[in-house]
Amino acid sequence: MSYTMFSAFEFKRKDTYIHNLDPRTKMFMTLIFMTVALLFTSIVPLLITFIATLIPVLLAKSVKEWLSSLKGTTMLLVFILVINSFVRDLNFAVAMVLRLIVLITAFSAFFLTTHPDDLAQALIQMKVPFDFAFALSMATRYVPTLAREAQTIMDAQMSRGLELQRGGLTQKIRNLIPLIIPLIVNSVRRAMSIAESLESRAFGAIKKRTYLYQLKLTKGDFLFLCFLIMYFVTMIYLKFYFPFTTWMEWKLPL
Amino acid sequence: MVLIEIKNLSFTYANTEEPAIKNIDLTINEGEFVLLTGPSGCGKTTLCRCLNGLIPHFYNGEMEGDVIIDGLNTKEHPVYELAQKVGLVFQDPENQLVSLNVEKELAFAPENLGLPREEIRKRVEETLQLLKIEHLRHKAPYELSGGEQQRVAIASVLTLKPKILVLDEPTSNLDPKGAEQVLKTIKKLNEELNVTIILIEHRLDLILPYTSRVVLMDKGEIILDAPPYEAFCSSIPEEIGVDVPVSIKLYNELLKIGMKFNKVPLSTKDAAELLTEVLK
Repeated sequence: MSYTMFSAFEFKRKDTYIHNLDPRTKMFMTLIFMTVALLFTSIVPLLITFIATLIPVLLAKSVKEWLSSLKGTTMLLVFILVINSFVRDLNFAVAMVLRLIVLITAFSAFFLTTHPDDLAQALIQMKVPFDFAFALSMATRYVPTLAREAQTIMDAQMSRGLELQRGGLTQKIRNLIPLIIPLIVNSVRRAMSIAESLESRAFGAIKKRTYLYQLKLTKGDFLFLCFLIMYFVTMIYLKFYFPFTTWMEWKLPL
Repeated sequence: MVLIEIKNLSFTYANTEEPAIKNIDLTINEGEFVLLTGPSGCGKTTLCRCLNGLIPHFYNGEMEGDVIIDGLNTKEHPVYELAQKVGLVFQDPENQLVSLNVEKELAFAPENLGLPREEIRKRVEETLQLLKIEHLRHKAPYELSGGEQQRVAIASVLTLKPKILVLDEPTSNLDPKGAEQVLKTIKKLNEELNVTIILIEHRLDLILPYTSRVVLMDKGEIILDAPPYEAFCSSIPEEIGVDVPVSIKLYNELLKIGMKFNKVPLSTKDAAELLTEVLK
């Protein structure tokens, strides 16, 4: 787990077909890829799914960001490969690695191309209560702020002699206490002052709030949804009604 | 026209012994530009919280006396109703910007009131133009400079169309340039839209020329309420540790050595003009 892994899920503003899709469409896409990936355990169908998940990444011109996210998970992928080859066999191990890659790709295709505000708005329009959706969008809003604050605290404590890298594992964890306590105290204070500001701007005045922006499904969304459904139906058909096709169960020539 | 009427107001926060403010009597008329100042811990912030109903609705404690804002008693009306009369701007802009872009930030308050979408759009556009921040429309808060952030924070309460704007040390987290931008914006609101301003500020040099009235607080009480030149020509500010602007210090010193002037310099610029006249 390194920071690069998270960069996969960081939104970057771009003007592409995928970026402009409705978040609900993309949510559906991720859900379908996830379902399909979890249905199969052999190499060929997972490879097909992998190629399918690559299409939105390519269309979104986000290959570089996607690759950096995969790079962050290399250790995890190797770990899965090794463990599964011992427990089962190499075929299964490769399939499992492919499955994880598909999951990572599907999720980064969503988060790389969806503005957190649009995600919140999509949730609201899917009848998630405003308070929850707002909490989610605030959480993403304050990530950089908290990161900067953590850095400041770390600098302050290190200049007073705190050594983060000293000692064994338990000691290293204990070293974090002087960082975490002030961070929590500051965050509670910040929360109070945010609440004050929200309160002063009529937060929660009435139950039925209006919204300046409203998400709408466009022709592009419907086109994309059509492809997704076609893909999903095909995969289901292959899984349940064509169970004996040999090419689907192709194995590595060992 | 009287907009704010505070009668015999005292407030003690829950779990504290001493009242944070006591025996406050203050009347403020429409269009006034009031500078509220005093040493830290003197109760300025508490007084601000009383103006839009955060006290007594958000903060627990014991409140005595009444605050009447444009005819509404703050005890009887919820914060969201008072927020449409009094806009409150705080010290740290970071904690006031909760959306991921400026346009949404401005829309936030009217959205909460459930106003129709066209009306929200109209108010957002007007406010963006008024504060000259149209170019920031799609920016995220962390992409803005401190001065821009604080101007967006001001804009975000202006979309409620308040008659009164209360600003609690809006420039203390800003660099001089950012501070100047913010103070100019406040001045513009006062002059062009006749918004009543209550400003807590320590950079007196910058703000004194704009103000019509100085209210000085110490230990929870108002100890002086006068026009700026009168307030700072008395010895009270120095006694309680409020920094007297350089221009007025200079003026006082020159008076002592027997020079006479027909007006009091409230800013460094005024002082420079006076001096050039004297030195001619």
